[in-house]
Order: sequence, then structure tokens, then C-alpha cells
Amino acid sequence: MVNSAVIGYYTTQFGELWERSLMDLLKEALFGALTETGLQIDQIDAIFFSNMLSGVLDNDLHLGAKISEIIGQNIPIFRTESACASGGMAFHLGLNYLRSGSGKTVLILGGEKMTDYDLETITTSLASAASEEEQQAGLTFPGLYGLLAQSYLSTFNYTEENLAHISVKNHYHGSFNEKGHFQNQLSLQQVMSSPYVASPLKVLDCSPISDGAAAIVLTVDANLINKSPHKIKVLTSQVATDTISLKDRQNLLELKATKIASEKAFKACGLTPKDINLVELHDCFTIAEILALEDLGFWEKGRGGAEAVKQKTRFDDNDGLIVNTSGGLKASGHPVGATGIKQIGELFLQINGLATSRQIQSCNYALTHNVGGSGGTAVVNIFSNYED
Amino acid sequence: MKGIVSYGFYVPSMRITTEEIAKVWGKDPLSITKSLGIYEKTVASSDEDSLTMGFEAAAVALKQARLYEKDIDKKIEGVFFGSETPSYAVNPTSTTIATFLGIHNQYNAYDTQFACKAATGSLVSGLALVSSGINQYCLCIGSDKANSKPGDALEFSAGSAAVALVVGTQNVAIKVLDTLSYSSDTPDFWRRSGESYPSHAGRFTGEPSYFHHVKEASKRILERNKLTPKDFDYAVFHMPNAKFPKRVALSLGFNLDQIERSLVVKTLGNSYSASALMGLASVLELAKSNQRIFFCSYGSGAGSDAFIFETTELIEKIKLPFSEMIRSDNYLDYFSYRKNMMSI
Amino acid sequence: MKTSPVKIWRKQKKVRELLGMRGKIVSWTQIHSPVVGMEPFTPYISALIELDNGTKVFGQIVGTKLQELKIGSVVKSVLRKNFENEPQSVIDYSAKFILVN
Repeated sequence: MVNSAVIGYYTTQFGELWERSLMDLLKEALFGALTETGLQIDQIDAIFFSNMLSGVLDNDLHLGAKISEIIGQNIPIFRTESACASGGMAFHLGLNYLRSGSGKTVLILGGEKMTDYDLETITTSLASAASEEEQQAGLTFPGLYGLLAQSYLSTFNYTEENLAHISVKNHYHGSFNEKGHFQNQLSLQQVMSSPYVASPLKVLDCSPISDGAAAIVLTVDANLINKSPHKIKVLTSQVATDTISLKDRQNLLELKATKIASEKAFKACGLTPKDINLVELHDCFTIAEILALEDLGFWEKGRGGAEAVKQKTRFDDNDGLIVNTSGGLKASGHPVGATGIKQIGELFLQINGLATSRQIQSCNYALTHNVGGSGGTAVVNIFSNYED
Repeated sequence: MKGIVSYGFYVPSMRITTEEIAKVWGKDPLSITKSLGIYEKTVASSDEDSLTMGFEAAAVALKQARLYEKDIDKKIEGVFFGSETPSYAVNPTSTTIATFLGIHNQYNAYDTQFACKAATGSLVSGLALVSSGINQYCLCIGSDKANSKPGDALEFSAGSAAVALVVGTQNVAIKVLDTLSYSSDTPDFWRRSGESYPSHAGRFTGEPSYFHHVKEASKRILERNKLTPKDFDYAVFHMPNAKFPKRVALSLGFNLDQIERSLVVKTLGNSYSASALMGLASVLELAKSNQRIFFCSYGSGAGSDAFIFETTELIEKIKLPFSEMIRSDNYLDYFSYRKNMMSI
Repeated sequence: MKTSPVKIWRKQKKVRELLGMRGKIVSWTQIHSPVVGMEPFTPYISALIELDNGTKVFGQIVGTKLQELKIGSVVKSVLRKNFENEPQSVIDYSAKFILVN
């Protein structure tokens, strides 16, 4: 298998960016990544583009051609959509494109513009990733994860406070991420007293509505890899799907797609969870981080609530596993199409010593975990530092 | 012999008291209950309307009818829905209810409006269709989510409920010995297209309207059948409040004991097209076989449909526990009431 | 909810099959941040319900307070209006659930 590496990363600010359109954000990320790597656009063989809502919200599709217009090139541009896993999916497809010999270097670009419309409209558009029956019942994404949280808390005898600790920890990390949507730390009290969005999840249990774009450059060109001052090695990328509807899941206490994707990923690179010390996972809601750490194999099923309280996954205070130094989706924001790419970018920064005030000491192996919807798609990628 | 084979009814679970409404408008609750005789009324939820309530009532009526006719849904050939608060100005509610009930497609259907007698008018037609042999069974539904202008006197009485009747000539539990209607053009209460709330002509809704039509229909049907009030075990009159039916009963020669059981308006309010029929449902809980029930509805605009009912032994099989079914302790404040009534 | 007269017509059978059914609550959530069309009913309760015949369905639970709900509470289906769509649109009637004592 030919070596593949991420050799550059650029992210825009995540937040409520009123003056930037989707195209503005994509342009910034795209050219930012090129500048970071010192590459010219004609050195990119294809672009893999991730976005969920432009069709639903703005009647804006065929983005491939729109990006072609910006870059003035005629290269293939592929769009992927798997709800919130669109970014991870774009990376996966880009990687396989390179491994198939179709090109040497690709750009993985993702972005989302979510703040142009009112909350009800956005809530409804995000719910497009739920089944028709779930939508008929008025369910929203916070609602679906609320159902999962309800089940989890009552089965394992935890309270909303167990969930709140996740938010506190992620906001602590987020306070060191100058590109993040929210850079304020939160107290447990603040999280617990925030109003309900979908019981038992409160405002501060939920990732925000954010604008933003991110891009990485992925290559199998050995020369390019050698010359790059910053790089991380891609060990594996695995994808799994599961039923769209929660009612058809075998078990409401886990996301099977995460379990399958992560089992495949560890098997493919001969590693176990103990080998991983840095993770960027999909904390769209606090409950999602707890379920993810259990389903990825880091915590025993049902122990997550108790583990969360310890807050021992901090970059500066941990038991060997560091989770979401970017601040996660919760604090750094969740512009849907950009998230899966930002997660990879965060590992890139950490492994290459570029994470400024949130820099971890060292990392051999790192993992990203990106989920679509209520677990209908999961993408797990494992990376290593580039010390051969 | 034509008549009612089974019946069903539905009341929403929420209530509001006269006191709660009076408080908001600075009125004395005691003087309201004294003049109207209404203590509380039913409130339908914001996601309920005359269609959903009509469905629930009809589902009960069909369930009861299945005690004799397993395939009642294949034998109903007329479906009639009467309301003054229909969900659509143009689109039949009758066919939507029939579809959700699983009634086969070979039926005639129409919606009627005639203020509070929208359903009893279609009952007359339903009885004619079954006794002529044109239809095997007919389903007649009366349902309203009655609303009023905030602060208007009607706010104390406008309630929500639905009643459904399966009529036929077989398995009759309540025979219809005769029916007689009296109609005129009398503008006592109306609602123009596009208007949210009805309007009324104050005291004109009394003597020339309610009393005249109820008395005429009642007197004429009694005369035609050579019957007097003492030949009846119960009497039911339309209930815009608790006073009018008492007054008209006494003026016709009925006594207060005969109508007491029917006066559901006191705690359920006036559910317009379902109003008098709810009074009938209340009476039927107690009715034994071979009892005679006098019934006269009233619809503004105006008209009355009078009926002479006589129960058979089958009443014991299909009667419903009215008192238990209407019981509720879910009381609303005025704002919640208005919130639920915003959508009819 | 994005709907059309044809879609409403097509789902009549499904709604009819759900009416008159009983089941138990598997999980629920009370939604305070609604989708378009649910604003007048907010907060509302959406739940996963296992019907007596073993099938699982999603539905709204109406007419009850959050505190009255428990996993395993018995519910039955009723016909209600669903969503407050445009005033010119066809009304969406669906099966919702109420608690049974």
C-alpha cells in the first residue's frame, strides 16, 4: 500500500460569520491550504468537497462546477454528503482515489453556511438527515440524541450532570483554540442551568450552529511528502453505515456504525485503543462523546458517565487519552461540512507541534471519528506521526 | 323499523371553569353561573379540530356497532358530517373520517352546516335513506370546536365535543318513531366566510329564535303522534346554556326531572352540533329498554329537528358509561385556553 | 414538514393502520426548539413507542406533562392534526399518542 500523508491544513474562523457567504468561506479555505503547503492549484489532481445543507437551504447544488469556476481549473471535483459525516467521507473517498492511482494529490475541502436563516429553518434542514417517520414525529437532531441520552441515563443510572462534564471539558479546550466558535470556558453550573433544547439535553449540551470551512491537502507523492515540513501519515480510513432510523437499531445504547468502523480501523493497522493517545471525535451533543468513547473501545459500555465526571481527557491533565483538543464540535463549532476535515486538521496541528497554547506533549497514533445523523454513517481514520 | 343502532361520543380532556374566564374579564363568576347555569366547559387541544373529534366519536360508534355487524365498515353507505367549525371551507370532512375508519368506498358522503343542528338535519336524511332501503346503514356525526370572540358572552358556553350515530333498520337500539322539522329564515346567530368568530343578535336569540322553533317543532310532533309530555321518560333539548332548555321544557309541559339528566351543558358547555346529541348520550347511560325519549335540536338561522325515540332491549348492550367517559380533572388557565383555541 | 397533497394521500393507509393501537414508551424527549410548523405546539414530546404487536414507531405524545412519562408507560393512538403548515395547504392528520391510565 502506497504511503499517503496529509501535508497541509487550513481552517477559517468558525462562528457566526454574517459577512461571509459559503463561497467566500470555501475560497478562503481552499487557497489557504494551498498557501500553507506552497502548492499551486495545478498541482491538485482532484477536489473532494463536503457540504450538507446548501441544496436544502439555498437551492445551491452542483458545487463542483462552482468550485471549478473559482479555481479556473477543469479537474474532477466530487461532492459527498452523509450529513455530519460528509467531511470524513470526503477524506475517505479522496484517499481511495489516490490509492487507486487516479491521481497523486487531492484537496479535501468542506464548508457550511448555517447562520443565514432562523433557528426553526436550520433545525428543520438538519432534520433531513433523519427518517421520514422521525421527521413526521417532529423530531430534531437534539431530539434524537435526547432519546439516546434518555435511554443511556436511565439504563446506567446517571444524571444530566454526567453529560455536563463533557461540555465543561470541551469548552476548556476550546478556550485555547483561536479559530473556534466559542472560546469561553464554562462551569458545570452554567451548563446545568442552560435551558432545554430537547430533554434531557440543554443548550450547553449541544454543539452550536456555525459557519466555517476547512481544507486539507492529501498526497501519495513521495517527493512532496519528503519535502513537506509538516505531515501526518494516514494509516487507515474506514466507513460503516447503520439504519437511518433509531427505531430499527438493535440497541439504543450504542452507535453500531462507530463500533464497526473502529473495529475495521484498528484491525487494518494492527492497533488497539490503548495505542491511541489523541482523539478528535464527534461530540455533536455531550451524550455523543460518551457513546463515542465507549463505542470506539476506549471506555467500557456504561462506564462513560462516570468517566466523564473525572474530566481526565484534557490536554494538560489526562490518564493517557486526550479527547477533542480543538474544543470538539461543542466549543469549536460544527459547520457540518467542515467538521470531519477540521478534526483531521487538528491532529495534523498536534502531531506537527503547531497547536500553540493547546499543544500536547507527544503523539504516536491519533484517531478521528466523524458521525452522520444519529449514527447512520461513521468514519474512523487513524493517523501516525511521520517518523519512519 | 328505523333507528339508532349504536352511538359514540368524544370529549377532549381539558376543561376551563366559568370562574377562570370571568376573572380575566372582571366579571362576577357567581352572576354568570346564575344566569347561564354553566360552571365549566370542555376545551379541545390545539392539535384537535372538528374532524379529529368526529373521528374519535365515530370510532366508538363503529366499535359498538361491531357487536352485531362484524363488517359494519363494508355496510355503511352514507357518511354525513355536520359542524359549524369544519377544518375546510371546501373539502369534505366526512370522507376523511370515513377513510381513517376504514369504511369501504361505496358510500355517499356530504358535510352539512346549520349552526347547532348541522348533525340532526343529516340524521333525518340518514334515517330516510335507510328506511327507504337505499342504504343499509348510515353514519351521522356532529362535531364542533366552538370558539367565540374573547370577552363575548359566548366565551362561557362555547365548548368542544363530537357525537356519532350509526343508523339502520336492523339491530336498532333506539327506534325513531317520528321526526319533524320546523324551519325559517331567522338571523339570530351567524358567521360570515373568512370570519374567525360568530356574531349574534343578543336577546333576539331567545323568544323569536330558540324558543319559537323548538316549541313549534315540539308541539307539532307531539300533536301529530297524539302524545303528551307525560308519555316520555326523558326529554332532551338543545343547550345554548342551562336556562333555555329548562324554560322551553316547562313551557311545553315537561317537568324538570325529565330533562335533568340531559343538561350536560352545565359541565361540558355547548358543543354546538354535538350539543343536544351529548344530552342524549347522557340520558342513554341510564335508559332502559322500552323507554321513550323526546328530543329537539335547534340551529340558528333557524330551525329545529324534533324526534320521538323509543329504546329497545338492545340499548342495554350498546349503551356507554357516559359519566365515566367525560370525567376529567385537567383544568386550564385562560391563557392556555386561548392558546389551544388559536387553531380551529 | 415538507409535504404535498399527494404525500398526505399516500400516507392515509399508514395512519389508518396506526389508529386504535396501544403500546409502551421506549424513550422520549421534550423538544423546546421546534422544526418549522411545530412552533404553535412547542414544547412538544416526541417518543419511540413499541406497539403491542411488537413494531416500533415514532410518534408525538400529547395531552400529558413530562413528569407523567416513564419508560414502559402505556399509550394509545389518537387522530390529531400534525404541523401547522401554510394556511392554503392540505391539513396533515396523523396518529399521535396519549397516555392511558
